[in-house]
Amino acid sequence: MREVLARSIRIYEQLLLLYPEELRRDFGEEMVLAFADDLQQAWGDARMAGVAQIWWYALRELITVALPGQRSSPYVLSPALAFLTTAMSESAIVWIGTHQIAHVPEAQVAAMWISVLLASSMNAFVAFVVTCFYSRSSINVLRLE
Amino acid sequence: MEQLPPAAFLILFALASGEKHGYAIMQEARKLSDNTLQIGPATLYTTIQRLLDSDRIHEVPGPKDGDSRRRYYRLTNAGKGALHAELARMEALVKKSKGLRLRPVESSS
Repeated sequence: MREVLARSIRIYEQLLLLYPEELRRDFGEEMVLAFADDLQQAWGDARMAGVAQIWWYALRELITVALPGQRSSPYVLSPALAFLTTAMSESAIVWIGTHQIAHVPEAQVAAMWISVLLASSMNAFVAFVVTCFYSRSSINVLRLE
Repeated sequence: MEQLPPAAFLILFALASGEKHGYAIMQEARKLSDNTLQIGPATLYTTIQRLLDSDRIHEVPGPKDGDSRRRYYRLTNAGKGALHAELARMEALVKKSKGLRLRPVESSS
């Protein structure tokens, strides 16, 4: 299996943390298996374009399935929104750059998608840290009052 | 009987031909919808969870030589009933549309 597929599966495993605990506990392993099967099939059919499509489904499900199930938790909601907004805006830039402006070799396209994922993950991490910081600050303010 | 959401209907439809594991259900459901309903793992297992809770499907042992991590699911009588009711509802709608001389838009391809 190509490294990009293995990395995708590892990232998806981490993203499962954004789903409701009950779903993760009962079906987490099977969700990863289904994602991995889907990814392999897509790679066989359309290489990076197929992988991008599977990621598009997965990111969309974060909005339609994970977020509604976690809407009461700011620790999940704010990093997820940070991840999604970054991923979507940067994906659009990469897509336009590779499809409309210049022909880019496949290896470089893969590197671009990985950098999109890394930037999105970093933004999500920053959002998580900021949420933790401000949540603690507001708790301290309440205590002082 | 309440109308089934599209994903639940397609999962029950996919299981009508026999027990399957999650990924096989996902592939069959996509095929049945001509890829118009893009079911991913989260939609699939959220819906499976609801169908298990409502006793429309149940878990069955998989093949002995299969991957032990995969769970297999089968329709229950309640699931078959819900599927048939939904198909009957759709058939009735098609009959009504024919009465109104409504026709699906032909694909240009």
